[in-house]
Amino acid sequence: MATTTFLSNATVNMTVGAQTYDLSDQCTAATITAGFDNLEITAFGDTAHKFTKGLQNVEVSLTLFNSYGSNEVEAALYDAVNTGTCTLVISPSGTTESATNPEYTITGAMLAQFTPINSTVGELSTQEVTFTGGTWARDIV
Amino acid sequence: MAATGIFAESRTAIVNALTALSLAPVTDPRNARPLSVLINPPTFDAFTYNVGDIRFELLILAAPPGNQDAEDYLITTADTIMGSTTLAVTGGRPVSVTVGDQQIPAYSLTVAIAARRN
Repeated sequence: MATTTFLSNATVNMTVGAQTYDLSDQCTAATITAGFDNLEITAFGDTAHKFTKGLQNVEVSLTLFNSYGSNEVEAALYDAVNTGTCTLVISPSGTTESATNPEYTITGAMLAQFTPINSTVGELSTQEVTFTGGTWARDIV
Repeated sequence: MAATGIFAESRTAIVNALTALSLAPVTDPRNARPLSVLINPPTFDAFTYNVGDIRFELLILAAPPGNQDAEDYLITTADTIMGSTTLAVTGGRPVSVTVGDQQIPAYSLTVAIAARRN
């Protein structure tokens, strides 16, 4: 039996302080690269390098439509940059987490810079932002 | 049934912008006539389900035949539309369109507009 997958966009929520922004409807691409630092534990006598996991590392990239207005993309990203830390909650489709819709929460992510104006005549105004740092967790229940 | 949604609202925005330029926009091909601007159905790329990158073709229609008078009208009107600070004209070219059984000298302009549902 075939398995179908709707190719709709990911669900992206960003919380800055007490304010949560739903960026899903303005986001066309979301990429999470999560893992751990690799720490070398090679010892005398080993015949190959050995590593163990260290601190978590994570990077999140979003491609967004530059919408303007209260709680819109430009205002939300300004808030994130200005505050210096935010929480991102991202899942493939919808906020109901499950094995087929894992939800990733990145707490304490930092957005160092953004592009509030990206205007070219006749072209959609978009921007790509990259959040770095923070802790990440996967939730399926 | 009246059209609704981001494409209809985008079309309305263009109609309003052309009207503000003292032009005569029409959206029904049956009403296309010389000295009007026919707005054809849009093409679009979907950025998300919520955001559309939309292109409309505007046809500036002049009175036949396709002589100097028609060309003067077409390039003057094209300039008027291009000079609008609200409409983003991305290109244009002279064309000939058939209205009824008649060939009409015309100018095809592409206008870009972005729309989001919310």
